[in-house]
Amino acid sequence: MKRNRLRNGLVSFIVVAVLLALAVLLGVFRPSTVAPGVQQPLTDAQTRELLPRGRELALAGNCMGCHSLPQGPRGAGGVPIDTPFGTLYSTNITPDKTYGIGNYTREDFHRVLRDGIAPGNRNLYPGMPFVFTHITRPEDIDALYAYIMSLPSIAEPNVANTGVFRLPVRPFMNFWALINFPDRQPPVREGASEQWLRGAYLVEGLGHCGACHTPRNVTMGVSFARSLEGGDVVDGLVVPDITAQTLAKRGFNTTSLSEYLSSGISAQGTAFGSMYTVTHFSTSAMQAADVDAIASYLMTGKDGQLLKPEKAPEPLPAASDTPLQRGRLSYFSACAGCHGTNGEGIPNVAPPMNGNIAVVMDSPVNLLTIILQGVPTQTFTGNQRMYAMPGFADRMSAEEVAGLASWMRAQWGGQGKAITAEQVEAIAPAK
Amino acid sequence: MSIEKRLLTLTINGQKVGPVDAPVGMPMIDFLHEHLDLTGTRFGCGQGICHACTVMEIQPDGIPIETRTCIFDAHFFNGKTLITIEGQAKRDEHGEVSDLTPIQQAFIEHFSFQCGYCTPGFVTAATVFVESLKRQPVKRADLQSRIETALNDHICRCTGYVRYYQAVQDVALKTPGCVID
Repeated sequence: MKRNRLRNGLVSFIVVAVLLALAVLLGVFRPSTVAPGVQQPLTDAQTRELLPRGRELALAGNCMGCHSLPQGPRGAGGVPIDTPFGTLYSTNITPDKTYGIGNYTREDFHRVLRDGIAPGNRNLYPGMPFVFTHITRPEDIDALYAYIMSLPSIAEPNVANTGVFRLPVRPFMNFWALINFPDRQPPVREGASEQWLRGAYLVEGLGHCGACHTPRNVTMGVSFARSLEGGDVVDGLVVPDITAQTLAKRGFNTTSLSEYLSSGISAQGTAFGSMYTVTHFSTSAMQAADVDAIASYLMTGKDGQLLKPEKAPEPLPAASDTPLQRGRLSYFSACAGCHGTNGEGIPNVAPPMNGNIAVVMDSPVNLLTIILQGVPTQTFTGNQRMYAMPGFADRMSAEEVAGLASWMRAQWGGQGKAITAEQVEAIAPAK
Repeated sequence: MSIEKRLLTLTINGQKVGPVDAPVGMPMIDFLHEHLDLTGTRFGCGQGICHACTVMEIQPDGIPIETRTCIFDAHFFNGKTLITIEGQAKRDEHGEVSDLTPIQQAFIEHFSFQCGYCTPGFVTAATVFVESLKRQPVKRADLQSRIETALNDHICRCTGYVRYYQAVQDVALKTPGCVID
């Protein structure tokens, strides 16, 4: 008798679990959260009026940064996004009816940005930052829709995803969403200025800064509790912490941070890696008021006050000690010609090293990667450009690079721990 | 304040230089000009952009590469082997130039340069390029674009590059083993 009861209990538990799993798989827990009234198409007059606003928001979201190949047609997709499970390719978001999103209704578009679900109940992979765009207000989604539907159609077929994404795994994203897709709202704070609210809305929403700058959990979901604390590796580079406290420690204030975002250039270094595409295509093209709002939000501490910039670290005594002198001499041999004997850099040629974030960061990975691989020529706002930095992987030994980085970090980064040759050798060679 | 110096030893144009005291941080081009009186290497932008100051470095495996002398100090080349523009042509027992290199000859025949300021850098780049073709020949159809890539970093303000590129193409086609069909 008792055994039967146990067995029946187990059977019903399994049945319930299977039913629940099926329900999750079928998306029962992902109902539409689109605003009421979006079933109605936008009128021509509405569309016209919304266009400028949509353009600004598309820039803030840097939609075209991921949805266009470098030098490729705008919005036609095809950009590879590597994951441990295979490569995803960004899709064609031009209004082409065959290959793009030309058949999306206003409601379809809202569902994508709010819920990450495309027509036909297709779950988007979280390469699309819908956990961020979720907080976008209905009138702003309308503006984006109006703008994107006004772009030239490009008949470019989508590239097939590879690896596990070749299999019908989209429904399983419902499990992922159950754990990693909280119902977030635009941030509010008592007594906050309009500027702060605007900055918060852009940073935490469409701007999706946290997609790279917030660490991810084991299931690759965004750890919102550790917002903007950085630390993950994107394209071989460690993403820096951009909390207000850390930005202030690096010497930023609202003005200088805003200048960095709108030009890509700061006293703390120039944008490189993935951030270069952000400053180049997105923040440098946005309206000054929005960039100021973003800077102001990012520089506001937990107590609601704007944080004041701190001084760059003083040289550590170790920088003058014998063991690091080889590194100092390497700097004078290979680097000082452009970056200056005092690490002051040359405008339009090479960024300063004195207080440079790659030098100051706890992790030496970015500094080492740049020394080894170099940086290609980059253009910045106002016809400014930084000429290519050569990589030194073939011209300096791992010991030399380690010594060089150790001295630079002690001299300008306030980092006393010496870098080892093994750390240098662990950096992947340039692609 | 005294200038910090270190001992430096290297090989330039087949001659051993040093050990000699050289200031830390002195650009290689200044060392060539001031200490060795090798003034053929041209100082252009001083920022590593124009490539006028490029000389040839012979790597330990014998393969030549280009290297700029304005952005690296002399000590960066400690223990290395360099060939400047003075070391390209063959010289007789009196030290006079007897035979130009095929690249130098072609640049003259094609009227490749006018003022000549960028020429030492172009000679270096073209020589390194032709040497690379001897190791790894290029298809005839790809030759022009490969020349453009190889010389692309070098800036010339007089002739518009065409005659430089034609001269290099000429040498590549005439040198056995550089071009395959």
